[in-house]
Amino acid sequence: MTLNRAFVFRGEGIECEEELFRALCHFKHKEFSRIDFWNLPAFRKNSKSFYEVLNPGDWVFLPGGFSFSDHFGSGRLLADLLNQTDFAQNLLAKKAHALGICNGFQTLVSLGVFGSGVQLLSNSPRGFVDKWVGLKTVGPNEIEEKFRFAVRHGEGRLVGLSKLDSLSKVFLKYDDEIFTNGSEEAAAGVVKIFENGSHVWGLMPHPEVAMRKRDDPAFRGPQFNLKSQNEVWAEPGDGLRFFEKLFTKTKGNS
Amino acid sequence: MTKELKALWVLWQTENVDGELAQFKKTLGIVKTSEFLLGYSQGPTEINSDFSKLSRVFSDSLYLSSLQEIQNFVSSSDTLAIKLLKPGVQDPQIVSLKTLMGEVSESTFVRIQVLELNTIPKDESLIRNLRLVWCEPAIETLEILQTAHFGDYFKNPKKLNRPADNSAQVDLTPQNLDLEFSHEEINAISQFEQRRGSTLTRTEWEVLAQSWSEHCKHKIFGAKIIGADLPGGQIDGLFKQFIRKPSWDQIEKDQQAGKARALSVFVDNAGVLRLFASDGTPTPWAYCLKMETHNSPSALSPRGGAATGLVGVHRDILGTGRLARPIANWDVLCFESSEHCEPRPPTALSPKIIRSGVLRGIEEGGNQSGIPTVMGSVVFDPRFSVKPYVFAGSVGLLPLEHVNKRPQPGMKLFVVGGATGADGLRGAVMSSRDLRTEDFVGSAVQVAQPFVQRRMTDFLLAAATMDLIDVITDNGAGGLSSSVGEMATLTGGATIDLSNLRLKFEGLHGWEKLLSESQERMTLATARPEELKKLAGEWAQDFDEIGELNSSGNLLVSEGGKILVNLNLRFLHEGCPRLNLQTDWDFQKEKNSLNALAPRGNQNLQGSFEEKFVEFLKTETLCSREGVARRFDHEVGGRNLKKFFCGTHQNSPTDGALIEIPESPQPAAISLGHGLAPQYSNIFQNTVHSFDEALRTLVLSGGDMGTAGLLDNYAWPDPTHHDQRIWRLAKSVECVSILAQEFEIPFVSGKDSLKNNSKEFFCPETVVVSVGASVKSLGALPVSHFSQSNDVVFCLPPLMPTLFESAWHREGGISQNKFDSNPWNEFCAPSVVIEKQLRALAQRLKLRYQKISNVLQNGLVKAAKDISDGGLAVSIFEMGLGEKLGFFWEKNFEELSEKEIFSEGLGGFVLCVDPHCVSNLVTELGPEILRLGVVMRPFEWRWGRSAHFMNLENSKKAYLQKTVEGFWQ
Repeated sequence: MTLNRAFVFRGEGIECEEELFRALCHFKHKEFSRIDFWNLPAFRKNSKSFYEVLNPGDWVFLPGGFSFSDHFGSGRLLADLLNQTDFAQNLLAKKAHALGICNGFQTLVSLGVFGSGVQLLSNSPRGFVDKWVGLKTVGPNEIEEKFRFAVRHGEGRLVGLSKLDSLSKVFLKYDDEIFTNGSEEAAAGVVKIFENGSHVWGLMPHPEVAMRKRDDPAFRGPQFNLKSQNEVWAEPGDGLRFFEKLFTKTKGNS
Repeated sequence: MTKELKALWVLWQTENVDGELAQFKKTLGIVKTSEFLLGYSQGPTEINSDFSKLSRVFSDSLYLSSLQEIQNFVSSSDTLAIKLLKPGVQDPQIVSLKTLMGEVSESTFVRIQVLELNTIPKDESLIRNLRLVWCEPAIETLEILQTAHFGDYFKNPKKLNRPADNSAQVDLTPQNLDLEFSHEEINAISQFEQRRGSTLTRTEWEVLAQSWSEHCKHKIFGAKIIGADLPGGQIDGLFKQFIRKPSWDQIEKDQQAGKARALSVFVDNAGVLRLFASDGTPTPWAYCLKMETHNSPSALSPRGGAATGLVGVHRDILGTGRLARPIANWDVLCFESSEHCEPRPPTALSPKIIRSGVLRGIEEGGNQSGIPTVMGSVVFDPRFSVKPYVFAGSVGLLPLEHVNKRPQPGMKLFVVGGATGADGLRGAVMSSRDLRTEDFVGSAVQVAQPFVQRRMTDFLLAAATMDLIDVITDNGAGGLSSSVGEMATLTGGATIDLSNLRLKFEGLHGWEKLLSESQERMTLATARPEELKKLAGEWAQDFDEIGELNSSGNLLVSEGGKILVNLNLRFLHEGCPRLNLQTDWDFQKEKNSLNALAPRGNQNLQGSFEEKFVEFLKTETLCSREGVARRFDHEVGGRNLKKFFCGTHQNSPTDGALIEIPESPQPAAISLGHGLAPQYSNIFQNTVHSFDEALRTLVLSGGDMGTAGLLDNYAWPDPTHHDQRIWRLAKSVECVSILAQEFEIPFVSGKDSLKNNSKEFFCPETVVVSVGASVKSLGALPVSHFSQSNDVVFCLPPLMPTLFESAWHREGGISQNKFDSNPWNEFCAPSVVIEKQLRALAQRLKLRYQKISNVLQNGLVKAAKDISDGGLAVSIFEMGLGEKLGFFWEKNFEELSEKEIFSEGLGGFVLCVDPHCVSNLVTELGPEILRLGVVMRPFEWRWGRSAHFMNLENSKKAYLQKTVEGFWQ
């Protein structure tokens, strides 16, 4: 089996690149032959050299953060930058995959990847919130699977789902009463599968910082006689399971 | 040729008037709210390339035509209320736009927010209120404008009116320049002028005023203090005698024992400690700690002041060693109470405006920098009406080999980051004076640009990885004057030329360029300038090449051939005469003053125990901080192992912080703790509690005291002409010093802010003690919430417990005349007696913490919490919230006295263990621990044999009430 490469964008206000990079390192030699950062300021000057490097099956990761401070709307300025380089078209042409988390997802939505009427609006009630929430996978022929990740955003209410284009679908929903309030169908993540097998995934919550059980605030501390300290420390969490599933799904459909 | 208004974009527009504006909807008749972007350019009106780029982003509504048409388009109402930044203040949003556009653009952009009003507002007080609520008065203006005048008003971009440089005309005296120097300082300057053979230049006066200000020089902490009741009759500098000396001694002791932990103390921008792995082995990493205050700016411009405070302390971290990377923040915020009222300065902003502005500033500063806020406190007291206290702390991470700077003559000096403006001029001078609003307007307060700083940080990290940075420091108070001035001391001289500095706008005078405190800039020296410039190109990072380090003995500053400064470095840094202070105050006077103290509490809780408890939990002092904490991204970076709230429901608050260092080859983490207790009038109680809370929370987060380092941050009303205040300051510093000595922990950094008063109003005397340490046994550490019924709960009761001025007392849980006298008043005794008492107390506490550390590191305890504000009852209540678990108090209700469950003291803990571990715990901790009861499934409290029980739903609701109601918004 040949392994693909992973490129993680950083710079221009992206913040979550390092933890995403570390999370992806769990899949080094399993999914990826290499994992590299790609600097946005350099990309801005010369995006061609980036797209030239991209091979079929490679992954591009858009991490969370406040790209360009999120002024004028979350992800809007970064989306404009990507748009100028024909991001979606290049990705498709190279049969590569992309995953946007939080601000990365906001950027993809702003770019119109999933349909031009799809929007991420301000939370209701308004304001930034950092909290762990329950999530579940959805979809036809899908065995429901549950996860718990942190949401950390101010604009995460996904609306306009009726305007999702025919290749896009919701794959992740909130399973938590606080976050189902006021949000249309409580969608947390969307995937678009192009005819040629290229996948674009996007979600608001952060799986990359849930790689171990003890990362969850519901972690219960050391339990009597159950495990050694090292086991407690390293016990795998929902994030690992999530990425495994995501990579398997993408391969299965290509 | 001047630019003219040629284009207008509608960024957003709404008829919903909500948030802070809702209250004005009716009274002002607001019909619509909009945000516009105005585009100015020279020449004809056809679309220029800048405008077409912008229309890409804001495709919806470009409007581009004659002024008259723009005016008609803007509004159909007659009257507009318009908010815009004052001229000269850089708009962060425009900076983002220009960064996106990539190249220097010819156009000017201005962003305005517009309220369309259906009436002409006549009521001046209404406009004043709108200005207070909607605008940041120091940086934004509010214009009430007839729509018909819109075109005229916005025809050209507003220029900052710069006063002409009058230094050639006036006599250069401190009075003429509005600078303050003491008599002794003026004498020292005259002698210097005579030695040098020439008088000071305008710029030199400004440089000295900054460098010798209280803010930069810490003259009070350096002063000789004479007083009969002080140890030995005099103190040879609070810092030197009580902070630096014992810390140096401890560091020497560590070295002799082969366990060096402190790598750099008091010399760099932050104190640096060695990182040890969870198994105790040394790692190739170090971390640094620093905390700053930003009180005066936050009093005048709460949002901007708090945000610049936070991103400012990040630059202290960046300027440590050869670059440290900021990885976490902690904030201590002290606000005026809105529940307990006392006379307040008439000019002070309302508590709500300050609170919401400061919280918003911290939110923006932290979140947009990508640095998590991992720990904090919010304290309320009516006396914070003078100024809020905004303490911003930050932790940095750096490789061991980058701890030391590497200065060499000949190295090139660069300024990287944002451009230089007139912002923040004389900030150090201002913050060393009493609070005078008029001084600040438009200059000392700035807009924070976390995005610009984040970009700069990305670049600097890349430069440090390539080892291109030899010396680096931040441009804090005093701007280039202080950063280059400090770096020059490392090689013995520096020469810079200001003529090539990138400016935010034209017309800055030389001295302004040198002293500008424009944010988001760092100064660095490198031996490999060409590689640095190439890397800057790759990161699209702007920089100025300003000069070089040398060994001339002088700081030489010129501007296009004209010499502005040529100062001897020794004189600049050591020429300021030492301050002398004295105090006639003594312990007997202090005791009398404490005994005469009127109780502060001004209300009484009524009804049954449950009713009183529910009201108690609603108060500002006790209520949940969720509404604050969730606004701060506390997990970005993926290092935070201790979220603010734990349990499935995430309602149980945690103590301290636990920050993972995944860069380390073996599992490793840093633990943090902090404490403050300004509520206690007794200065010994105040100080010891601050120290104890810091250590308590450190130990709970797994911190190993043998690797710890301390920070002291003093915030005091001006002590210089006040016998009692200087005595109390001296006693407090002595006290914290003795505790640190007994705990064998060195101070690694600290800061003081000693001008927190305004006329007859005074902020509380406050010391924030913070402590950081490497963590041992990461996999064994407890959580902060009950997770299973039948788990057994113990308590280690606090030492020196008292209800006096406890939260229960202050919030009216007990009637004002029904408490014991304060045991801490016994500490008002002769110096030698106090010292003996303090050392004994510290020993007892230290022993207790060592024992607790051991049981935690053995994985014996599932959940642990300290006993803090509100006492034992509040700790048990909070631990149950995370999983909604109740508690069975084994003692009868009648047997539990108020004193047992509500008093506050030192070193108190609640420990929750598996039933199998009970005997182990008892063996380890000995007879001091008390069995309290067991965790149970129903969400209620039951008491012993009596049929007493209390459902906890009401209490939970009360505790979260302020969060739910938007008090923290």
